[in-house]
Formats: sequence, structure tokens, C-alpha cells
Amino acid sequence: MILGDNSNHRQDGNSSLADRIKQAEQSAKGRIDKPPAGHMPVAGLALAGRVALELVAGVVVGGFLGWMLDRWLGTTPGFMLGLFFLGAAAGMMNVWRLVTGRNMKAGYFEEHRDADKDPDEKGNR
Amino acid sequence: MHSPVEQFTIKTLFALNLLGFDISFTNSSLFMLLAVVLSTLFLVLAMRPAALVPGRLQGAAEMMYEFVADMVRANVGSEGRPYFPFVFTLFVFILFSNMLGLIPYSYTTTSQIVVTFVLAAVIFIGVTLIGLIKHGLHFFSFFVPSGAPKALIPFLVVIEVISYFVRPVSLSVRLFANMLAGHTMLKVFAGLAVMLTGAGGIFAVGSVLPLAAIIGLTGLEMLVAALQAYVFTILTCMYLNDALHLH
Repeated sequence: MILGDNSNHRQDGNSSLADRIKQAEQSAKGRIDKPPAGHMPVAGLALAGRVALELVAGVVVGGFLGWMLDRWLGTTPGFMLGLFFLGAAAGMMNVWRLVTGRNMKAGYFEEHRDADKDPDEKGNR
Repeated sequence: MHSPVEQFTIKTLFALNLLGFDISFTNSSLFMLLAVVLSTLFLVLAMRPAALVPGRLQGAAEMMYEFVADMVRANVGSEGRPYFPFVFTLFVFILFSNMLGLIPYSYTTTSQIVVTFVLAAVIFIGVTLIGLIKHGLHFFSFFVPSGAPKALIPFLVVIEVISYFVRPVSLSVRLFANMLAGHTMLKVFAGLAVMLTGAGGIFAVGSVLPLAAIIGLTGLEMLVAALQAYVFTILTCMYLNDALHLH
């Protein structure tokens, strides 16, 4: 009776150890397959710093390109005004891309595009 | 009393002239050279033992290498391998320039927009050329958003082009502004400490406070120095990825 209990207990112990080894192997496999993204522990801080600048840079670059075109074509201030607002739109779009994890990829990323990328690629940023 | 922005003055060390262009060796050039020499020395000396079980220095060098290697692998994929030497050099150069600038009496080259803009422009032009060589004229499909209504396409193309030209600007301004702001802030607090000491009496005791702030800020600046090197490098990887894999 006691012996039986004992062996039963050992059996349990063995199978749970085997389970644990299996689990550990699986989680390690996941880690090895996916290379670490070279993340810094303060990646959030890096992201925050980028958002504000993207907004301003869009307006500045748009305005500057418009100014150059105006000087070249003598259409002051047509292009500058137009590109100023389009630049603001570009800035907004860059921020949207940044915070939705689309990064700075030009062109819209449609959902079907996302789907055919391998899932590893989406998570790292 | 020194102005807090006096630290950014460019001083000519050796006057040089090439075909009418002023190519003088300045304090900025000196610290760029120092960053190159020190980083080379560090990596060569640290890797000299090439031990299977790395020592402290070798461990640091290997960590730096692996950090950038993982970043390239994760953000660009295996096609990014040929560009790894450039990305690694870029990271080490910016990291060393930023860190050297934190040593008192030294000069921060990355606090000059010219330096950071040239770095960003090289990346921008290089990445564009890589895209053009790899994909030919198909590269320009980059600027045409997929699945947008036809009537909106002219506007969206202009927006995309602007957002492409924003890249070198935001890349260079980010590094330059972070360095400039941090170093100015340090000098402002240092100036406050000196002024309080000069005022004497109870004010001199109070000068301990800005001094404590400088210690804290120096730690923060070290974080910013490493972080900005990281941000600059990871954005380079992302731009490279965009050029290699068009949508």
C-alpha cells in the first residue's frame, strides 16, 4: 500500500518534470527563433521624443520645399502656402504611422499587406 | 561669466585652405578624430585576447556588436547583412561622440547641426540610391499609396514625397537638438552654482542644490547620449528596410 503510493507519487513527479522540460524547451525555442529586436529598456522614451519632432519637421520641410519652388517659378506664395498645409498633413501621417507601429513606411499599409508579412516582422520596432 | 552657449563655439586649431575652401582643423574636427581613434582602439584592444570566455572589456565590445547585429537582423532581415559594417560604425561613432562630449572641457561634435545633417544626408542619399539600384523605376511606387481613392492620389503623392524629405531633417535635428539642449542645461545649472557661491553667505550654502542637479543631469545626459545613438541607428535600419523591401 505504502509502496504503491510511493511509486504512484514518483510517477507523478516524473511526468510533471517531463512536462516542465517540454514547456521550457518550447519557450526557449520561441526565444531562439525570434531574435531579440535590439531593444533598449527605454525604447518608450525614444518613441516619445520622436512624436513631437515629426509634427514640426513636416511643416518645416513642406514650407521650405514650397518656398524653393516659389523662388524657382516666381509664384510666391502659392506653392509655399499649399505645401505648408500638405507638410502639416505629412507630419500628422508620420505620427500616426509611428504610434500605430507602421513606422516610417511610405505608402499605406493595407491590412492584407500586414497579413502576408510574417508575424515576427510586425512586432519588432 | 561665461554664456551657457559659449561651449558650442568652433575654434580653429590649424588654419587650412584648399582651393579657396576653409577646411581648417577645428576643435570639432579634433573630437571627431578622437571619437574615431578611441573607438578603434577600444574595439581592437578589447578584442585582442579573443578569449572564448570574454573578460570585461571584451564582453563590452561583444555586447555592442551583438546589440547592433540584433537590431539589423530584426529591422532589416538577412538582406541587411552587407550594410551591417556601416550601421555598426555609425552607432559607435555617434555613441563615442556623444559620450566624449560629456567629459568636462571637451567638445560635443554632435551638437552641431552641420555634423548631424551630413550624417543624415549620407544615409538619406545612400538609402535612396540602394532603393533605385535594387528596384529601378519601380522604386517610385514607394510614393503612391496603395488602395487610395483615385481623386486623392495627387495629394497623397505630394504628402508622401514631403514625408520622405522629412526623414533626413528629423533624423539630424533630433540628435542635434538633444545634445544642444542637454549641454546648455548643464551649463545653465553650473552657472547658477557659480553665481550663488559668488553671492556669499546663505546663498553660497544654497549653491549645493544646483550642484546636485548637475550630478543628476549628467546621469540623464549619459542616458540621452546612448539613447540618441540608438535612435539614430534604428531609424537608419528602418529606412534601409524600406528601400530594400518596397511595399
